[in-house]
Amino acid sequence: MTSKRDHAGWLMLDHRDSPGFSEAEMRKANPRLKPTAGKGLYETNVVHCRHCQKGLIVHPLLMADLPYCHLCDAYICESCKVTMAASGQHMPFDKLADLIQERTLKGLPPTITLERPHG
Amino acid sequence: MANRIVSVTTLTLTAFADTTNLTDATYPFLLQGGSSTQRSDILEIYWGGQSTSSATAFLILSRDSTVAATNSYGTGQMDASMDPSTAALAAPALTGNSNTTKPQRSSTLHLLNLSGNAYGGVVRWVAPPAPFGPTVYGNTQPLGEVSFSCFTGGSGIVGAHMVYSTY
Repeated sequence: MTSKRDHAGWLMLDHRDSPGFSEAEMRKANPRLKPTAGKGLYETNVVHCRHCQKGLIVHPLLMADLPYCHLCDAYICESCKVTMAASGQHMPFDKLADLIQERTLKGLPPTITLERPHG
Repeated sequence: MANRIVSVTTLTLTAFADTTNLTDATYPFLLQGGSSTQRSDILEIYWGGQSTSSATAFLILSRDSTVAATNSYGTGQMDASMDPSTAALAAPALTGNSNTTKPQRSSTLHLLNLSGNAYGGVVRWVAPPAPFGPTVYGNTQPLGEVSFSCFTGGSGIVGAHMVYSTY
């Protein structure tokens, strides 16, 4: 049986032979990770937003808390969720790529940008 | 489909703010589509720290708001196929870190933050199965190029590679 967890990537920070990051440095370097991630070996899931492809750090047991797009049947980022709710438009990455490709093949500049899903 | 690896043996990072020129041989690599309709999946990124003292390497994978032109490889940088039987692509994806028109990292489209301590630290990211990972599409901004570079405040010496699949 497949699970949405199968759609997650993997991130490893290995500071076992390194001073690593202090908690303050870790908050500055990557506030999405837990502050102690800069010490020793740290592994986590990374889910990519289906609309903009940003990497979302998430605890494997808390994936259900991520914003979800029922049209894509996939997780998306907070920003894309808000944009979709505000604009009423569903703009997954593949649709965006199709629109840009269509304009490119017609010799037109891509007027649609990825900034759009983020307002 | 062709799986390839772009790598750099050792490189001293320079920190860049978003939307500023990434100057030659100061960031690990970029990946740009070989044609207006080409698609490349990014499958893995690895970097290992080679600094001799603590250095916070704020390495970011990001889409570029200005794409590079006339791309070439810097010292110690190369792009190789994973399979020896790989046929040469008619329009291979472009990798490298030296250019005439310099790429500029987008200020809004960072895809991954792979920060770590370049004094012995190792960071590795592996993509989810396609089509759930990041892709490069075409060869114009905003989808046609990604770069892996050091953000403001970062530094260090690293070796790195990226696995990607072009089709």
